[in-house]
Amino acid sequence: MIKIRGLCSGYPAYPVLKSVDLDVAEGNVTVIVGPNGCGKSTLLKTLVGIVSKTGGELWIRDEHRNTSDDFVSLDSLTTQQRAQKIAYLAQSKQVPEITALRMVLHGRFPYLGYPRRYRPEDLEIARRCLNRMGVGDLADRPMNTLSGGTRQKVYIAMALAQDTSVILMDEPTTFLDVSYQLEMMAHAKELSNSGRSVVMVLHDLPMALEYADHLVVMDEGKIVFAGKPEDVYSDGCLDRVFGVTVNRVETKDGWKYYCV
Amino acid sequence: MSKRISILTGGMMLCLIIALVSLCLGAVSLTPAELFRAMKNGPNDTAGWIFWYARLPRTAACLLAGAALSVSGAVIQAVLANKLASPSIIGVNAGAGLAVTISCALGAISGWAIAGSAFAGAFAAVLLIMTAAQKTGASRTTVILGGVAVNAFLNALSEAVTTLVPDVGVMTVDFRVGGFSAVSYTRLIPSGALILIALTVLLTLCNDLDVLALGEETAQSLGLSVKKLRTVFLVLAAMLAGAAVSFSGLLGFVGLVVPHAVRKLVGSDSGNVLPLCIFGGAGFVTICDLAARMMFSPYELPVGIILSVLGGPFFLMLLIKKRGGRTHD
Repeated sequence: MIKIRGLCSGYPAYPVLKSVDLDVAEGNVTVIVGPNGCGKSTLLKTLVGIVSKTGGELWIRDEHRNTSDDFVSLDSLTTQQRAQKIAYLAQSKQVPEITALRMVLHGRFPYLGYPRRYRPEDLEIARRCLNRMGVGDLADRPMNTLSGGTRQKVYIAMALAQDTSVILMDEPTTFLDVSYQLEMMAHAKELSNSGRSVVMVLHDLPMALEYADHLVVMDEGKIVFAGKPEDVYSDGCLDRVFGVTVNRVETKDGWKYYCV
Repeated sequence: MSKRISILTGGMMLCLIIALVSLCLGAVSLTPAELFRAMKNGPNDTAGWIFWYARLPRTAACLLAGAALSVSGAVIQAVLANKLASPSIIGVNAGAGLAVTISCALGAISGWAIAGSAFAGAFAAVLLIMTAAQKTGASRTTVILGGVAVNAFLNALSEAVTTLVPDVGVMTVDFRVGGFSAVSYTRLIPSGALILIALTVLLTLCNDLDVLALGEETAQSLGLSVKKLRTVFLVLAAMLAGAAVSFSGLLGFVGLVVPHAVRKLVGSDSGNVLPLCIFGGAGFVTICDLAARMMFSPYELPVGIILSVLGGPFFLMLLIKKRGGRTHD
């Protein structure tokens, strides 16, 4: 779905990503882990266009083309066209004093022409997405009165309303209690099962190993290892990068990982 | 009828009634019948002269300045993500005031020259605050404190120009605290045109403003060209504040009090906030001006004094509420 080749990006006088190569497959949950400051969030922000790239190439599959060369460069897309292909849930979000329905409705913004007025079908889509996330009954509640977990569901509903093939999530489980964290990961799986590519940054290594279809380990602006969680575990790169020991035990539900 | 339509219709009706009362009352009061006769017959008798050359420009000025400063405040608060920001507090009005003073000192005293320089001064001030906030990553309270400093600095420069060029004549008490006693069509028409253009454009950009208020990263990910739109909004807010200052002087607190009251009524959705700010601000300033004219009649207070008496405690209340832990900086 996304091809990243030799990507360099960062801030003026402070390069963060140093020649990153990565393929994001369709219908997968790709989880990026790495120590603080290694460039995980910068990678997501570069894909959305929040941080400018200084080198390399970014390609995304164009569903409207049906040829062998069906990828388009992200550089060739306008901000609006990019938003029709990639949704992004930022790590820290301002909590506006608008209703949950209005928040989700903003997911339709990339599809509006000037003057930007939401159409009845946009309202219908927003209501459907809220219902899909199980928070349809909270449509008229102001966002600042919702709990952190419920608010996160509204943000995912907004990403759903954006109707993109790729959803990027920067630490979506931070500040959530454990039941909401598990629910969030289940939603991510559900989204990938519906054909979307979900790319998320996580700090919880056992959770990353359990839920990722494709696990990417980053350190100092580079990808150290990328592959299936079992392969990442076997390689031992997590131990080296984080300075911890990752272990696993077999249960009836498969491998469960823990850190010591 | 939806709650939104009811509130907007109510606001518009109330604003119209206040405007009518403002046209009737003053040192010489006119009955509604005299008012309509004066409107019909033109400035041919005393009542006609009072209506066409005193009440009408003054009421129009109150309505335009109130609407412009309120909407400017609401836009600045949304763009800077800071509810304590308003054109008078962060130095936007003071920037316009300095530019008007310099313009007058240089002899450019036509209506368009004053409106244009007021806009340029307001825009320069808002750009200064925004750039400083972004470059330094300043907290919301620091932005306000920085704005207060800029405000004091620009006002001091205006005073210096007035002292060095006494003939400039613009920094009267009425201009310094804000008032409408010297308003004229010559100043009102160019500024009114700027205000109407800016309001019309802003009303078509309500959803853009709401998306921008979600934060830079979310707005960009939703396809909004954040830098471009932020500049557009600040240009429009500066146009409004600058144009209002050019004929009303340094009116304070309108851009703070009205958007807050409006948000309490209709929430933060700009599609509701901006139209209601137009009616709310227009009505609020007109009623304050009426009070300024009538309270100590035949003497008259500059309306800015009434606004500061109401706005000062309101600002303190917001600060105390903020410190009370209901919002975090």
